[in-house]
Amino acid sequence: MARILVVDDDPDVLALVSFRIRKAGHKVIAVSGGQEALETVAARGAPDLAVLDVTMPDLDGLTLLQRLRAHAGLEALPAIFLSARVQPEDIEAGRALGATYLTKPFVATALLNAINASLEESSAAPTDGGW
Amino acid sequence: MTDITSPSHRHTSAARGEQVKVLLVEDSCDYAELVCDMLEESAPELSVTTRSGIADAQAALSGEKFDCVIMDLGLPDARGLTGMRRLVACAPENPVVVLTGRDDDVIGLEAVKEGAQDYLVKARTDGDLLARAISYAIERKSVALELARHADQVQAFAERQRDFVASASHELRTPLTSIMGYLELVLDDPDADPQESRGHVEVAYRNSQRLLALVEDLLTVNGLDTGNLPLTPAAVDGREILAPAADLAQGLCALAGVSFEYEPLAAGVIVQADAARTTKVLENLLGNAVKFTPPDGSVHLRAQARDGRLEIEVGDTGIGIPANDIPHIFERFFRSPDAVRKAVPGTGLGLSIAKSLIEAQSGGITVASRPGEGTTFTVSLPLTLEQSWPGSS
Repeated sequence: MARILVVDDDPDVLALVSFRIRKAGHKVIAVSGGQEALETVAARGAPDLAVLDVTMPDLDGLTLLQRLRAHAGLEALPAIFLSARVQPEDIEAGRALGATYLTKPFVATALLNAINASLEESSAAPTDGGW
Repeated sequence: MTDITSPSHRHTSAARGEQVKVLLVEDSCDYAELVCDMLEESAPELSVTTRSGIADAQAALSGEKFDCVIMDLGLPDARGLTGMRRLVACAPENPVVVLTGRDDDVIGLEAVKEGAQDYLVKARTDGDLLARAISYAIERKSVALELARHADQVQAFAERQRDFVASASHELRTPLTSIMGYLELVLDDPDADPQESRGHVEVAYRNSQRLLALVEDLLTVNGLDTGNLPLTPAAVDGREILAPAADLAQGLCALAGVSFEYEPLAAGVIVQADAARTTKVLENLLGNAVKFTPPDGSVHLRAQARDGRLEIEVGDTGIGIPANDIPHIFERFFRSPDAVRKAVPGTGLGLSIAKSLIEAQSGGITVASRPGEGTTFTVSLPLTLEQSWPGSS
């Protein structure tokens, strides 16, 4: 079981993604914006993985990932972008940060496979403190 | 788009029978004098100013407007096409005719490729030929400039369309993500609790409605962009525009537990407007007002004629618009982060459509808002001339 941060400004999508990940047996913390995500991580400790929307009003997902990785211990935070932006340059920008880039609408198995692959790749073993 | 074939876009001085100012760049005083004499006889409406080098010609062009430049290529401060390039660069709107001693097809073609309107050989040019070349050069340059402007407009339009399609694709995918995702949840688990499945289907249905609203708004925006959404303005009584919107708002307010104040307009205030579309705009504004006003608040619709215009006010005592968002609310696809977070439905297109529709009718739309106190949109439309001048028609 890993601790997964999910950020999406659309409440229905946020609930859907969180529901899927919880059903797969992970702990989820769901927040609806970039600022809130930064505050949550500062208050409640590091996640093992982040699933991030890209287009959000307060802070875009790419910037958010860079800010999260600026935290001590989160330099190598694995991330999956889940975005309705599907232009090649958008996908390239996400992959340039070493993240997996999935487009919306998404199929649940694709998301869950990407989560498993990212967690396996990540050298940091999941810990249980914090959440 | 501008109709480039229309003669009204080609106001050359010659066509208007006015004096045409020619800058002659020629270092030989004798030949310059000869040109002046020839032109005076063939085309007395031309007034010729002479300069003997490129630097002097540039100075003349920066201080004064000319209709045409005639230039030699063998000038002391710039030989060959170098000088011509400099003149074309410093006065890109000016037609340039090369008048040179050198009969060389290759250079002639090169000169025309680099912006000259014509290439004439001195030994074979008389006053009539030169006067005609000048007048054609002015005309050709004017058409070329018009074409360039037209091309710029087409390119800008294509860029806007490309951005629009990318944004539209993004906006359409968001409700589709919920529709497909929640239906997938139901399909994946046939033994799920029926109550839970019903909840998923409800989310999918709500997002289908959102998708439909978006598709309709996108079609309207596209119609506005491409001119396929013709407005039919006519002289119409202001009450015909306001009353249907008031009816709709009455119902919405009752559902939302918000009070509605409508002050019917006096009879006989006639505006020039497309009544159906203007009513739609008011309905959109009233719908927003209700959406952002908590129960026990109030929404109002009132109108008055002032300074030749009908001013229609849609106000509410709702949550207001944050000052940061005010400059963006009429932009396409802009949604207040506040509204997004609170899951207030909306496409981000309604206000941009409202603004386009009202401005297309020579009207205006403005907003005033205080967070926590409320928001007021004011739509103004021109009154008909009959209104301003009773009895004139």
